[in-house]
Amino acid sequence: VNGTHASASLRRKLIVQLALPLLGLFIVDGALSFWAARRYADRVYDRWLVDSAQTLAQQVRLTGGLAAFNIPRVAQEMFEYDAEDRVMFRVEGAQSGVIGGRDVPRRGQHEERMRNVRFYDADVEGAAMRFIELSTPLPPVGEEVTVTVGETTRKRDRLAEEILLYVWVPQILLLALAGGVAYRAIVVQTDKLHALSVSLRDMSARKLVPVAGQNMPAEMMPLIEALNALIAKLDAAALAHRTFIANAAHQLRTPLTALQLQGRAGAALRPRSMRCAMRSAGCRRSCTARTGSPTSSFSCRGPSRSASRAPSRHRTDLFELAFETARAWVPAAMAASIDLGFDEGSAHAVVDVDEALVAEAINNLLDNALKYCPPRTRVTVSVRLTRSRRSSSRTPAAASRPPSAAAWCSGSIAATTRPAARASVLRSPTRSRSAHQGAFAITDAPAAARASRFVSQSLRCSLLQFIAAVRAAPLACVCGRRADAPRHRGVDRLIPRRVGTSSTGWWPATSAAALCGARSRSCSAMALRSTSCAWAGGSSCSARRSGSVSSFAPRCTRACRSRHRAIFIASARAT
Amino acid sequence: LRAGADDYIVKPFDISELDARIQAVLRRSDRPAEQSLAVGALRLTPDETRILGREGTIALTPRELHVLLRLMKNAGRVVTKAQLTETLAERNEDIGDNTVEVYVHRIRQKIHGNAEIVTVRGFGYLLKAVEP
Repeated sequence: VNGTHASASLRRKLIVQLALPLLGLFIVDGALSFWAARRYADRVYDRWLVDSAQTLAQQVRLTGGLAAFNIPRVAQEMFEYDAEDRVMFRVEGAQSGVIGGRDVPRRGQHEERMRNVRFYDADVEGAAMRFIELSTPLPPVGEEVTVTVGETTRKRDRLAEEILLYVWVPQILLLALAGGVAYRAIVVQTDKLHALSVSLRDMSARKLVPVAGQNMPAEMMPLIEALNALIAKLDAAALAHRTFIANAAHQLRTPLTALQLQGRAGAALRPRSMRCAMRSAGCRRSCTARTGSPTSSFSCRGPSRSASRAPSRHRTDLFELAFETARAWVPAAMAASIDLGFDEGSAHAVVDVDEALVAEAINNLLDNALKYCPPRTRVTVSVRLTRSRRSSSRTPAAASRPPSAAAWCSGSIAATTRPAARASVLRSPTRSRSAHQGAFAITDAPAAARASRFVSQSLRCSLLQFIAAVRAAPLACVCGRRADAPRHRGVDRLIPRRVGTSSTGWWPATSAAALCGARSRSCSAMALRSTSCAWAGGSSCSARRSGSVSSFAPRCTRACRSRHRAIFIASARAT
Repeated sequence: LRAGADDYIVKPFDISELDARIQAVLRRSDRPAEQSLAVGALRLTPDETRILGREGTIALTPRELHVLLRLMKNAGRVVTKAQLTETLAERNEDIGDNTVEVYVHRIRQKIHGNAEIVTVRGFGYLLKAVEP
């Protein structure tokens, strides 16, 4: 628009394309004005000449049977006198011959005839003159008398110029005004294009916002809509990349940290026995395997695929979906000596969900449960109806991660050893959560220690939003509980109490602690901190099995070492 | 696939791939019938009228035979209580609340030592082989 691409400037093209017709119009209008000015000036002075000729013709008298023009010389001079133009005349009878005046050209150019008057132009002594020739019969003999009067064209030329001037000057001013208005309109409209280009230029990969369509001409709206659609796709792709990178970083961080801790522990402590050394080597091998698994997962799941498929929602009975999904895990659970069951008291909840995503989420949770729970653990899949859909608390470890993915990253890492679960490692939790506006949470409540640990990662909401959500639709939950742990009072009520009594903050932990008989709130908070390191990547789960939690996660408290319950909650909004 | 199709292919597809899939389905359909069904020491006779165990034919009523047949055809997988109820209903049996449990209990006793019917909490039953 400005400077660099001047040759291709739309503004210039518009101005040129408007100016040329305007200039042509001005030229044509000027020519017409000139013609009109000349014509009316000629008409005025021609009439004066005709009047003069008629006056002279009236002075012709019949004398002796012949026409005679007996006008005093002084009168003739007075007739011919003009301060500016030269006037001449001639009076001639058909039989009498020239009876007055002087010799004038009988023929000329541009002859016109109007009744008994003939007009023509002729040059006399180098001066252009206008002549009229009036023929009239002389009563009573009927001799035709011809009176010719001519004058130079100075006055009429000046009159034509004055007329032209009075016409052209306003026209020029009007033309200039029209040009200015047109230029202003072009500039204003093309400035919108410029504003559009500026708004596009100011965008970055992290700031992709739709272009505002206000005050834009209707002709530009298709372009703006197309641009906004492209921006939306780019934004989704950029978000998918960021999420992928964040998840990748998170999933790699934990096994690498565990490896570092192993290295430090190995350097600081001398193995007391071959068994200890073997166990340590096994842990390192496990960490290395967990490091390699996400890497292969990243290579087979590109970030571009994360946003490639829009959720396809259907009304689905979550009971059937959870039942059929979990049923496929029974053989694996039996092989792992885990008592996987389905809560027969589950409710039939018809929800509007993407079956594939929810199934992936359930698969992911069950895979984690089977992988991290020790043998003889009782895992129960249930579908429950509650009244709310949102709660919020964030672990300190989650602060550096995308808010919606924190808890699920924790639960997803170890799933990489199973192909089906590996496919859902990165995408299913976050996609399913965001697609259904639900909340996912992983809770871990040590039973024997009579303290609670609770990790909850979900959407934050204001109190008003929460109150509105409490009145909203039911939820579906998947939960697991260790079989040999003493049945903990309050845990069964944890889910409904959790979603129905508070909105934000650390309350799930405190509520859980209160329900489970925790000694104090500080105990719950401490447990939360330990949870953040224990569940960050699942490494401490294997550590729990080996009984060396403290060596893997030094910040863990005694509560972490105790037998624990794992409660997996996945919720989706029902319709 | 859940509606009964053998395979599916999404558009756009290559004709050669479609042809290959059709050939594969035809190959599968031409495959000879499986050998007699067996789970652990349990074996189904070809005429599907008797179940053989380690000690010979296991005496089963027709109803029990059908329930066990359903379990054997899905050995290693969970068969829901609803599916077993459906199996019994196909024979116009009177189905009570605990009919399935009764039949499973009887079958368990009869196939003891040959195979094991595991109750999967909340899901149903699973037939698995037992080590001799």
